[in-house]
Amino acid sequence: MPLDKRVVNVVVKRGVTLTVALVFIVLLTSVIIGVTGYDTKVLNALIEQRLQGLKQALQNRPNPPSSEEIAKIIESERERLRSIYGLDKPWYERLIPMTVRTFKLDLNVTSDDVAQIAGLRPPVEVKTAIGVTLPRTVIMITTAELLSMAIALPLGPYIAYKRGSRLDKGIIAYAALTNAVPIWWLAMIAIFIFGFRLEIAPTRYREIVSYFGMFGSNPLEAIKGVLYYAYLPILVTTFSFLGGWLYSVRAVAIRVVSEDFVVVAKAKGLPENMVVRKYILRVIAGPVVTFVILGLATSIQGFIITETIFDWPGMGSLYYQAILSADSPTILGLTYVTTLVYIIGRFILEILYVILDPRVKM
Amino acid sequence: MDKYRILTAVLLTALMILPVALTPSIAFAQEVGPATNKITWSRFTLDEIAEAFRTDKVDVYLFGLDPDVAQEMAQIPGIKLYTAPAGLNDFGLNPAPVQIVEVNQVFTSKEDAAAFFGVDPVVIRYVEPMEEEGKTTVEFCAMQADLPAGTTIVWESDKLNLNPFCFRDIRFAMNYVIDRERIVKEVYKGFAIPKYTFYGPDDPVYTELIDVVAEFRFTYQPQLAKSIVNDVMTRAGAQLQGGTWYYMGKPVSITAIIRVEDQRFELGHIFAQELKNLGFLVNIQELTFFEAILKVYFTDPKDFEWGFYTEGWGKGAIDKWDAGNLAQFGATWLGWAPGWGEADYWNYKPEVVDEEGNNVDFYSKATQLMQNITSKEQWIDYLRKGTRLGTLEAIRIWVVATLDSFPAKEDLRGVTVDMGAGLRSLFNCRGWSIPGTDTVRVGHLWTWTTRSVWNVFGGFNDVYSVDPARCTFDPFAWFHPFNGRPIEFRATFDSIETAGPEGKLPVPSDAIWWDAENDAWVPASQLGRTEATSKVVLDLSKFFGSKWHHGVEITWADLLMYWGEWIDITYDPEKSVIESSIAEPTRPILDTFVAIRPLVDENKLEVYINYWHFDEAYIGLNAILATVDIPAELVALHDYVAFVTKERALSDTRSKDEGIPQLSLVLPDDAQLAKEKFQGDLGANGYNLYRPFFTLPDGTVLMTQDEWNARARAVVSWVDQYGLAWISQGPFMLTFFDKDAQKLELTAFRDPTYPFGPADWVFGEPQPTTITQVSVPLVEPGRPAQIIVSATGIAPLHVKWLLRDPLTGQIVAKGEAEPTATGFLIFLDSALTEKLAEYAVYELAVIAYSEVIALPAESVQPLRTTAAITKEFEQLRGALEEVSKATAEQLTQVQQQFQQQVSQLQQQFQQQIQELQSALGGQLANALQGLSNTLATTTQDLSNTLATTIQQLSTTLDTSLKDLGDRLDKSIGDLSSKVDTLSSTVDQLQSQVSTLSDTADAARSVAEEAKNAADSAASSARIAMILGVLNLIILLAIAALIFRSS
Repeated sequence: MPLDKRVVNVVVKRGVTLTVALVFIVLLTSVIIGVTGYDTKVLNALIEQRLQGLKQALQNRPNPPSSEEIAKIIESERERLRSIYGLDKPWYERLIPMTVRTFKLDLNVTSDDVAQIAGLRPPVEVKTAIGVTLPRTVIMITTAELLSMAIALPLGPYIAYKRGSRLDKGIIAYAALTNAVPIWWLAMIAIFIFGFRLEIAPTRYREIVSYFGMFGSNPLEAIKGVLYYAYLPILVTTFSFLGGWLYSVRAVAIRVVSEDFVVVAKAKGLPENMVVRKYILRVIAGPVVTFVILGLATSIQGFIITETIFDWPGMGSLYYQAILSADSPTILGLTYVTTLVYIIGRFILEILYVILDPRVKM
Repeated sequence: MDKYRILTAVLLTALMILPVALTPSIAFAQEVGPATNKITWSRFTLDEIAEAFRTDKVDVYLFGLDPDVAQEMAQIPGIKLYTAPAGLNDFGLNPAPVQIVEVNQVFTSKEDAAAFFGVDPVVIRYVEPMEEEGKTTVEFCAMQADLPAGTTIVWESDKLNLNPFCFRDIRFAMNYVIDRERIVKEVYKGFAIPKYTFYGPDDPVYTELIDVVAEFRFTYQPQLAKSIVNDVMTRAGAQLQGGTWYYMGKPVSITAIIRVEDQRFELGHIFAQELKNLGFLVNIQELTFFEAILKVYFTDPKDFEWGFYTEGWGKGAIDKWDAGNLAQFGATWLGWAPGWGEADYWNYKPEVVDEEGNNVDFYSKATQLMQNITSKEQWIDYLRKGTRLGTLEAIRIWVVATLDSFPAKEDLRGVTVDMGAGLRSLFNCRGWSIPGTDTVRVGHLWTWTTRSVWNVFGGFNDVYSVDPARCTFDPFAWFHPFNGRPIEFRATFDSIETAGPEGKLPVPSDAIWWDAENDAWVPASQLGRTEATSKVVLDLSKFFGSKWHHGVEITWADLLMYWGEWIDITYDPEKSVIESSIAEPTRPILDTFVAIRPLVDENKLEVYINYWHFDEAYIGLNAILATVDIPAELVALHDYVAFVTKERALSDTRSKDEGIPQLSLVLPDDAQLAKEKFQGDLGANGYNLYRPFFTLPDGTVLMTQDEWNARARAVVSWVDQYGLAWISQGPFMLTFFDKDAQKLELTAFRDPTYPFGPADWVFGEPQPTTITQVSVPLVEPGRPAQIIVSATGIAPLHVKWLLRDPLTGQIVAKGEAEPTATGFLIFLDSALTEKLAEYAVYELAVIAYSEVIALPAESVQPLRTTAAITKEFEQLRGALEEVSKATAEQLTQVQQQFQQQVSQLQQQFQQQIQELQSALGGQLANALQGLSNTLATTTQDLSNTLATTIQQLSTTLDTSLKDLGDRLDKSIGDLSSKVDTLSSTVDQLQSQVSTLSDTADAARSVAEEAKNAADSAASSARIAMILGVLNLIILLAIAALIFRSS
């Protein structure tokens, strides 16, 4: 089917709008960091903390240098560090070129603390840090999202169709429970039960990093290792996500279930499966696809606390550490990547809307 | 038969072999090297460590626990907690003035300036006369609106009209609003020590400062603080309205910067509440590390971004003679006082001077920099004076020394608890073992971080690399784990000679030094190095001749290469610029070295240094330029990749600057790099490149090409075997390292040339000095008292004591107890007790300490006084004696008068008889004579009777008085014994009653009883006296009657 010229125009327009949004978001992040002086303050603090350590180390030597010598050493080191961190320039001279480079992901190196999350020895380029961290989050969070979707998409409409049944009530209770119980708490309990007590799962998950690095040299061992270390986090995350997914899909489907055409189909005596699949699922495909795409797009941002509990150095931890250490290049890089993925998701969604629902006006 | 013989022989042999085979730990104990065969090292977070111990996944944890976690761990059976001082917490106060003015007159005192301005001297913080310019700068703590003519305002605050912490008296009074004991108990769950100033029981030098610090043993007295604040604020012109202080119409406010990450959050809020109670408005800001330090340390104090800040400090290694705390926390010259030494900021200057006219900076500089110090006694004296002055400045209010807790399984053997590093001590892994296993499992917060860099010149900047590395090498010298004094380790101090502090020793002509510009060891004299303050001869017999982990023998080449490279990085014109962040801090240290003289055949090294200390061990320690912990070829590798190929940085700064990785010998990439280099250029040409480092000026080359080649091969083989390139000389070899898995493994190094065995460096736990009993009697003013202190610990022990009036805070007396057979005796003589008030309670602080172990024991006991009964009794006795004496005199007088009157009577009678004789004639005369004789006899009899009666009366009186005296003595004796009994009852009660309040109540009740008994005894004595006097009156009346009747 040839694409309607008008459709192409609209898609291009949406693409342009989303690209502008992406540029705007990255610029805005950069300006916020610069204008508030956040990175300057934190970097200054980091430098001074380091200098305090140096000063104390010098003074605590049994034969310490004179105060004048110490002052000279400290000042010289301060100048060097300020130059390294770019604090000898105003924020716009530092951040604006960095913002431009962000779009090429040419972002220089991360701070040591961010490199620590990536598990790499400094100097580590921002794109490398994101590159090694992203798969870890995908393995844990995105996989869990996919599993939840795989279960919720067929099951959600079905329980909507069986509204009021024991299964429906049970699912509602489960959804309420997983909504109320924080995922990191579940993670903690799971580690204690399955790791420390039953000893059928690891207690420390950071070791998965070794297996990620092994894919090239020993893929079989790598897969085995990754599976061993990832199964509990994936199960816990899926358990937590699934409730929400089931409830959301059910909520969307439930409005359709009471529609006349579904009632007629049931009255006609069509098989349950067919009613669910053709009369409910197809109708709710639009909103469900939105959930799926946006869910997958946002899953790469990671979960800070859950990652911390599992000692799982993923994107959430990376973002958190970048903010803590005012690592502007990494903050910009992460903002760019996550926004880009989200915007691509939105863009795909716009196209899918057209395909899935011809009523959508361009 | 033969079969049986053979079988018997086999069985006997098996019986002999089996026990040996089955007891590996016994076998290890007889070998060289450490006590255990293997140590594994893994990461455990603080959240999971308790569970890891419960499920037996770890044997010992080396990251200090938070008090809450420590409390939880203490409940787990089979776990033992070891504690060590870890840090210090205080409230930093902002003492900045609110107004600075200049006046065209010279004032040298606050009083003179105050008179000029017409204000109370209290409002003036500081007066700085500039005599040459004829001006004076004056700092005001409270804004002055009406200034006299000729005054120029240099600066005044637009935020505050009055800064309460600008007043030294108010700052000092803040010590009384901190309930340190309660904070230790409730906030730190007991894992802290109260801290009253910057030195405390957690510092080895504290034993020299005990009485100085005890003077500042503040108790929680908010009322006292309030009265001081009220006095100062009122004198400054502030008014208290509705419970809040106002000055110039505005409430007096303080900005509190409270850290949120740890216990300081609670501390900050407690202090803020106390300030509110004193009438100040407190603006609380709860901030994280970054936000807080930017507000406090990166703003001018007179901008008043902060009023107080909950400061926290980490503690370094313990050091026997540490003047660092005074310099950093009490003095201002080092840049740690408000203003932080920044030229653009207002900077705090000391306010208090002693009677010698010196301030804290004078004493601090002298002790820290050894300026003008000629003896240990002088250093201690200066430290004591500085500590006192620094505490009086009160720019920091000290709260606690925090304790790190290290959990370990109870069956972990060979533990050394270092007073500074706790279980992280270097000594530990050497002696650790667990019965029944040859592996010890260590947990740490991290095993690798991006700062864990294993290179000897620019790395080892975090505990995660330092802690395991310390198991792999032996230092030449180290610090005693219990008292912080330098001790010999792999090197011994053969002799230490010094001409210091003023004199110089000649440097021999064959001594050498590294010429960094020309890359060669040259005669020291060639570089003008001809004299030095001290000379230390290091005996390196335990070092040379033993092996590196890769099997190569340690030689002089290793030492010369290592020390030469340090000197080269520091002074070489090119290297010192490339690695300036290593060179600059090292230069002042290396500047003290003058020359070395290798005595190759004797395995001895003479080191000449310009360094003097009153403790020779410090001279020895400072003569060690560096411990040689990696072989020469690895030192060469450092140099090669850092300065020749420039592929790696040594320092973190250079790594960031140039964007190249920092060399770390444990990472696979760098191990491969090492392998490549030794298989390539460094293997082939390295010998020629680095030969100058091990070539003496006389041309002697201390390593051959073959040796170099063998070493290169050994490194390559090591990398192939273990995947890392860290090779050292200590009890453990690093045989596995995985940064991603956060694991490493140490394997025992049991080469027969290794000089130490498993128990050689096990110090155990410091046997704490404890005070087991202090027997404090009720003390009677004016009567000597003895207090016996029982203390246990490692001899030689000392006990110091200090008697303090808690109401005034004044030290009444202090001294050192005398050791006796029954314990340490504190003798309070009558001259001292006479100064004590009746029915008062004093604080007797008793401090027992060992010369060997830093942590002293302290006990503060109430010393109660009773009535001055003995004095009263003495007065009474005196009065009675006077009465007795007066009575005796009066009786004598009566007797004399009586005898005189009888005599007169006799004479008159004789005369009348003679007259009658002459008138009546002979017969009558004879009759009269007979009568006269009869009368005379009767009179004589009467007189005798009277004399006898008086004598009896006198004797009776004497006996009565004596009786009375005896009864008084007995009463005193009884009372004393009763007092002693009561004292002993008090002691018993004190030891039996566990809680302080119970003890206090019981003691009060007993004291009340004692008082009643004393009152009752005094009352009995008074009755006895009255009866005595009555007896006397009656006796006198009888005497008078007799006299009259006669």
